[in-house]
Amino acid sequence: MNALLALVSALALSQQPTLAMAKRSAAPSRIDASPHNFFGPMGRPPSEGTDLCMMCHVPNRLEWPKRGPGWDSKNAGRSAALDVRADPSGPPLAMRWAGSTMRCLSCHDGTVSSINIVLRASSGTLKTDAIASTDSQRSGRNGPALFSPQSWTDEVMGNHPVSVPYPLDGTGSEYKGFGPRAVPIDTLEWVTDPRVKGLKLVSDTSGFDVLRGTSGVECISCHDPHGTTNTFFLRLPKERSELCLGCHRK
Amino acid sequence: MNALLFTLVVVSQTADVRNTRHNLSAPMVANTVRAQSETQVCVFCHIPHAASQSRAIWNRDLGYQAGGTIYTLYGSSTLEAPPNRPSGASRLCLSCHDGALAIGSLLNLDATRPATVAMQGGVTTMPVGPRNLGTDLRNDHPISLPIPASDPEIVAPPNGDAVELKHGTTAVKDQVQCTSCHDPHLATTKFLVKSNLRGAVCITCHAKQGWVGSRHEASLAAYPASGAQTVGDLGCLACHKPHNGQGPTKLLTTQNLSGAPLPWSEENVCFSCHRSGGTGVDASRGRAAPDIQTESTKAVSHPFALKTDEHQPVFTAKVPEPETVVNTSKHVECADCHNPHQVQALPGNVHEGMKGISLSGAVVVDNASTDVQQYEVCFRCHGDSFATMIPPAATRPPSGSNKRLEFQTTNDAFHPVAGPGRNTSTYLNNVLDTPDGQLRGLDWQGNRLTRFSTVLCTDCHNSEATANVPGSARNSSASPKGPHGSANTRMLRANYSTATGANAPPFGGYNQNNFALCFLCHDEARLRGNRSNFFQPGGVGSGRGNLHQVHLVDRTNAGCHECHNNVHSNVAATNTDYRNLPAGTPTHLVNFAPTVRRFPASKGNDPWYGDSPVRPRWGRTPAGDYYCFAGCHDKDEAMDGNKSVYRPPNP
Repeated sequence: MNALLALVSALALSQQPTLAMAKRSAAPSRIDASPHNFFGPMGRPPSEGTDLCMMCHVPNRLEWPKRGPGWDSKNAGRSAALDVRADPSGPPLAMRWAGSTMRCLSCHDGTVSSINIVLRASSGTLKTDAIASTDSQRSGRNGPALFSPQSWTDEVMGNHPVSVPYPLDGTGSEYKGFGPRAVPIDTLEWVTDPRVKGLKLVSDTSGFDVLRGTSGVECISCHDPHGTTNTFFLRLPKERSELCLGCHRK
Repeated sequence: MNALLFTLVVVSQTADVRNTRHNLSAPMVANTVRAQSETQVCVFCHIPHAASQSRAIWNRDLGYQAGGTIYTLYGSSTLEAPPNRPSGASRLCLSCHDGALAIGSLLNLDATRPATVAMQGGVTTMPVGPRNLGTDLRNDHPISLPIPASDPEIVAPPNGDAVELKHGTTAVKDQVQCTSCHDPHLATTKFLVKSNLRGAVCITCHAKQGWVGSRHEASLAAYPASGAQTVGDLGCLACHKPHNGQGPTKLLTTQNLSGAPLPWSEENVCFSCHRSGGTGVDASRGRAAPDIQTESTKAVSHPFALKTDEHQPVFTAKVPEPETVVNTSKHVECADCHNPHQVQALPGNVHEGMKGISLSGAVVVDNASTDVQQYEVCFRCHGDSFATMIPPAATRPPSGSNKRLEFQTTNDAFHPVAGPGRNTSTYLNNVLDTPDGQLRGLDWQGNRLTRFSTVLCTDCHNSEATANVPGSARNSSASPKGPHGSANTRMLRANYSTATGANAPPFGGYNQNNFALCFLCHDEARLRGNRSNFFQPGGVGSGRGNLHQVHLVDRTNAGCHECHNNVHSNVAATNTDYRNLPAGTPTHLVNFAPTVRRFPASKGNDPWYGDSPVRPRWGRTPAGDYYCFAGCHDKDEAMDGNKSVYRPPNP
């Protein structure tokens, strides 16, 4: 049994674009070809001082990458769950994002566009993102920003909710303090376990095991930021709405 | 286990949105409205980012609906609360189904914002047809309105029902929206949240009193006649159409036919079934829906077709009585006499659930404990309580208009409609009752007609086909019965001539056909011959022993109506001088026709009272004997001869 687990781990590792592999091998990884390669398609950092992963990951885990002044992860009360509202006219529920979604929003919340990333200010070879070529785009208004820095309640709408519970195995879930299990879930509306098809659920607990009753949806449930064979970092193809129908039974 | 899983998978595939008309993606070739090449399904409505501000992450720009002022809203006099401008999920539905926005117009398609998906066949907005509701929502079931608390016939769906109230603009799910009845993802007929067999979706909220068990609900007749569905299975949809309904407010339809539908009018909704061959035979009844349409085409009928689109529902609790109509709008629709949600077939109560006007002029409501009487339904129009009272015709004396007053049981004489006749003396027993009397047949409740019986308006005013039995028309096997139409004048069940002129047609001689109506109950043989209740004292046998015979046959060919001008009652008599007949004295329905003249003053005064009445007199002598003092009995005035006064001395 242990041997089998080890084998699986090895296989998994072999498919992960680890820092070491990126440096050692010229074989392209998924992130190499993805827009998250900020050095251009198949691009490589110009020096040993920078690398692909450093744009998001800090090796010593001391702190998150510093972003523009608009993003303050310590003041996450200003941020709101995307389109999660107690009622249609009320404000979005203020939720404290955590974990992976906060990492995504540190670039994609519209307060900072990719061109404004101040990490490694010395890296002059960062790819200039075409979508941030104008002032308005730079502010995120028309770029792929998820909400507007001008109005937190206006433009936060219009996005699929994240940091929300998912009824894994048809069981009501509580996640990030939202979605008490008492709320009846029409389990017919949801795929029993989206992970079977390759989507990702997140655990509300500190552990990595995703358990019924505490499972939720974050950005990474649909997107794999390290790149996929699908557009928009999608874990499943958008064609024929396979991605949507991976969770939703409609 | 594997088999079970496989089954589940199959079920989920056949039941999801991809197998519906809402799959607009190109591969869904079964749909006429579909994209040229786009394969995404959800994207036509939803997008995970850059969507419009809605819970449904809607991929359509709803800005054009701002304020909802582009919509003309449903309105009806029976609405407890008017609908609001479309809100909630209904706005999303309307963004395609109002025909204003191109179906392929999206906020975000693969990060192109906005974007337009090219549709097959050059389709842009919703093609014209039943699915394009337009921005005029008056002919569609109202949306974005709360359930009224004050209407007993409208209830909120029970918890757990597939029909649900939805959000409007507040935190409470309290409104009817498109999604209350339709789930746009559901692979069901018309995306309904549950089957509408027998109106199940409709009656979730519309708790129509008396509907279950009503004739329409219980009908097993196929509609259309050649179809597989019964009227009862069609339920509400037999008459109503929740979208693109006809008529001003009630979402009615004449169009649920397989063949050419009848043109729109209120009565044609009913005639869709109630016509020749309109439905199949209801096995439980042994017949198809009664053919009322043919009745309406007869020489005289209630004027169903007089007006269209002016009528208000008359049987709902909401509309107060009287209905406010102006004289020029006076007309009648089927729903003035029948409540289609509660109606029963004869011998049940065809007026079940109707409101009527009582003898005292009060509104009476048919409910579980009280049946509205037939005459009370007639009084709605043929009484004086409503502005709807039928005015006397210009060619008619004012009598005959206000039936409510005419049938008061305190009147001196009346046909016993609202109660048994007041004169139930033993003398009348001999005249009217069996075995000696002249009354024929059974009353409307199946008992022998007697002096204690009541009669229905429809015992005289009915289809001519019901003249095939004596007594009440209720006992006729003819169908349909009822005052819908008749070949006879005044919608009478049989002929009753009011022509005058002893020698003019049809009165060249005595003809029983002239009074066929009367003779349905009043035995002609007993009225004629040797004895009736109209005789001269001492007179025996034909001649003065039976003055009915004398007047009708022997000496003149008078018509019944010349002495019984208004057979409803004496109360409105305008051409009769009742002398020494104080209120309460039975007057035998004697009231002279306008053509009967006074006894000419030049020929002398009343021999008992010495006066010269200006109208023909029907009175009693001081001794209590009845007598006539009228122009008929003056030789110069007409009729017969030289005697000035007849004195039939009744007991």
